[in-house]
Amino acid sequence: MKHERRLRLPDGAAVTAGLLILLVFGVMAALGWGGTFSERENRNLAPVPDTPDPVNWNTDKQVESYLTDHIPFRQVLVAADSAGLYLTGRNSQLNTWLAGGALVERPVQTDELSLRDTERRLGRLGSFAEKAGVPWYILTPPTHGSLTTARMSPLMAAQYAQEADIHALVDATGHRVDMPESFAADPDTMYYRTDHHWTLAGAYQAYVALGDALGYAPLPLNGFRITEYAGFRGTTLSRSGLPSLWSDTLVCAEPDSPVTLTVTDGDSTVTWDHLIFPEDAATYDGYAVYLHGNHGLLIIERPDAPEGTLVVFRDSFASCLLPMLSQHYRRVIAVDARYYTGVFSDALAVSDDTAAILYVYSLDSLVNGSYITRKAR
Amino acid sequence: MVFSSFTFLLLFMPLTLLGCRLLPGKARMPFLFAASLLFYGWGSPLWLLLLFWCMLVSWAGTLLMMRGGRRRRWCLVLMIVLDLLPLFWFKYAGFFRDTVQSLTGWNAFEALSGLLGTEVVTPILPAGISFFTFQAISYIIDVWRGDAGAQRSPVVFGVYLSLFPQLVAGPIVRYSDLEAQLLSHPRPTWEQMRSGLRRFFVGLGKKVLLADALGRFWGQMNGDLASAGALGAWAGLLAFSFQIYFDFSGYSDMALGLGEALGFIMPENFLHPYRAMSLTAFWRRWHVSLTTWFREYVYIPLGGNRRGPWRRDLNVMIVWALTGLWHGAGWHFVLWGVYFGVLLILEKRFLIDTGRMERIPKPLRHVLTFLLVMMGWGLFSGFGTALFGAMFGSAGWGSAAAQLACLAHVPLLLFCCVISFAPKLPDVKAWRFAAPVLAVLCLAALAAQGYAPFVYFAF
Repeated sequence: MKHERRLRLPDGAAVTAGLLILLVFGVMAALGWGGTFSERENRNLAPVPDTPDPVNWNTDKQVESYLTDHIPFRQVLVAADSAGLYLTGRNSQLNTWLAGGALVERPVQTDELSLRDTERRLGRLGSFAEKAGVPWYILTPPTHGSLTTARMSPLMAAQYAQEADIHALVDATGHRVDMPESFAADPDTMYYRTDHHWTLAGAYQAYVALGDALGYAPLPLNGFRITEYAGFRGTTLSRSGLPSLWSDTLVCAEPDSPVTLTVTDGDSTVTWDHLIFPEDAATYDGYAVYLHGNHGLLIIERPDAPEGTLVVFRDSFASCLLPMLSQHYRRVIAVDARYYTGVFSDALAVSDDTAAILYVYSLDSLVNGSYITRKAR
Repeated sequence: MVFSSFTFLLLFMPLTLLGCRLLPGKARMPFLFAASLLFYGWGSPLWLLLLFWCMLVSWAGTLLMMRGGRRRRWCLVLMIVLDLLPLFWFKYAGFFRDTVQSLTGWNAFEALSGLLGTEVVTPILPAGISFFTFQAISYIIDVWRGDAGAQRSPVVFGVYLSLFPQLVAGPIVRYSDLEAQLLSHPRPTWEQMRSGLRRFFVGLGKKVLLADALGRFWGQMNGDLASAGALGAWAGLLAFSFQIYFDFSGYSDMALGLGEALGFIMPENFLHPYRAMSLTAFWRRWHVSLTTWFREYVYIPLGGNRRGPWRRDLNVMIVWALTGLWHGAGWHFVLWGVYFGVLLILEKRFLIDTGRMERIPKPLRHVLTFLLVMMGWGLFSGFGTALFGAMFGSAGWGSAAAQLACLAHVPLLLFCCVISFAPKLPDVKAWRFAAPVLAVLCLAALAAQGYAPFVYFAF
């Protein structure tokens, strides 16, 4: 007769082990596992709860936030939950949609009110530029999602139709710079898979299109100094909560001649002699490799360029584009209204040879960014 | 404290269960009492005063009542009134003020403020007050009737009233059901703990993985019924019907599971209600402890069905209006109760008593029962006419976004249909790895709720 030997655990071993595992997780969370800052979310984690106050009791919520933010293996747990949502068909209910192999942002939501606000915003940008008396242009690239609708379910694809209303409003200004058809033909080359920004190839298409409007002869891409940085994981991946299985390669272009970059944030001003910052590629916010991240005011100067000054009011979409534009202008002044402490006319006053004003905004900024026009005076 | 929080899952639960298992016999009751008070006071320490009030009135009152004499009945009435006072104030004062003001223009709170010389504001409803008040009343009446003995130990009585698994959302356990266990309270066996924890995590899964997801979808639909349209309103109400079931039955599973892990066997509260083929059967399966409470302490004392069919119907209507009011201080809750009262009377008179019910095909009975229950949840939700209008086409079929949301939730709704309606399902609780797998999934879902990437990250 054959006797099977099976490992028999003592009574209660499984229950005790299970409870102890939970307790160890709890103690590690209570001790502040994970530090004080989440790089992936780019935010401070919940601080240690205050001393309890029985009358204005808030301790339960503070403790819960603290434990939630500091639970061990939090990122693994979040990734498991996100993967579950994507696998059970609730992709369309999240902020980032999986379309083919790329993560794209869900469509920019509009309604009557937001479209009216957008129209008013565009009107204010136009009247500011008219008052300055220089030619002006506006560039609003189509979103990655709107170019990949063929890979989505029809109901998801239909959601992007509302973005056409925003494009129509930009068209109505008469100053829109159209992206070439080749941009829409190859969206996966034009956009990163893990980020909502366009790639160098996408930005280059914009640079070529702007050449027609602004009157410069675009250089071929190999006319710039090109550098590459692998392992970039951007915002759409971060927002999805999915595990970091995908990554992109950041490709950067900058003029191959002497240049200075002066950055002003509030009262502090710093100057560099390059536009690309390789050291930032290794950080979690790898997109800061272009122009060292986000700044209220930056001025790129290249004395041997043929044209005068170009003033750009922009969001982060312009970061990859500005180094190429600086090839043609002695001075490119770029204002990001989110961080800029002055008003737009202050930026115009920096130079007296402004050749044109360029607005570069994503659709989301145009519709939801009330900050865009708050300083347009 | 709520079961689906890290504070409970990672600290309170393991420490309490291990403590209960390891402590010697005499220390277990005080330990459980202290743990239950911490559990309740964690939400707001001041609420403990209400719990203490209820304990003091019921415990000391019954001991006084049992001294005998002609005043026993008055003692009973006084205790019930004193127990109900906080419930009336915290749950119904605002409702009373609003109703009287809308009828007469008189604001009772303003008058009270003038009288007291300080501003009287609408009180915040303390968690679980309806449950522990009803539990205290059941104890008082059971002792008065002689169905249970008055408990002399304030600690043992305190544990009965505040036992944390069932303190804030039931089941409403009658003292007589728990008396023997409270008095003997043996050390929980490992088998009880294993079985209890499995049930706990099944309940947690129902709450966190199903009910919360359904709730988000329902919130999305009812947040903009004009955009949801007929499709979104129907799908949303279906989701709400499942949400309320999985949320509440999940909580009951967690409560019963924790009770078992602590060595207490409590009565079942949900018996697959959506499998019912009549409304009468539905209410014998849904929130059983509450329907039992109303039957024992309201319906039967009113005369039940012993005084003829008309009096029976009147008793049913009274019970259901009160049941509605118990669920919340709002006229839509009363309407919901009356709706079921009327339907139950009609069903009894025209289908059950006449034998016609048996002639209706079972699948049709099943569908009709569920539809009527679902409409009831529509009333319960408080969206009333807007919801029913959208369901019957006042806002068209629904926007593309609503259709997309409905489509995205089809797998979840189908899954809920299967586990709610299927006559027989494998017992998940018996699966060896059910508890650890569900624990990990629930922890992941709870961790994800706190995951908040800064929206403009990397702009």
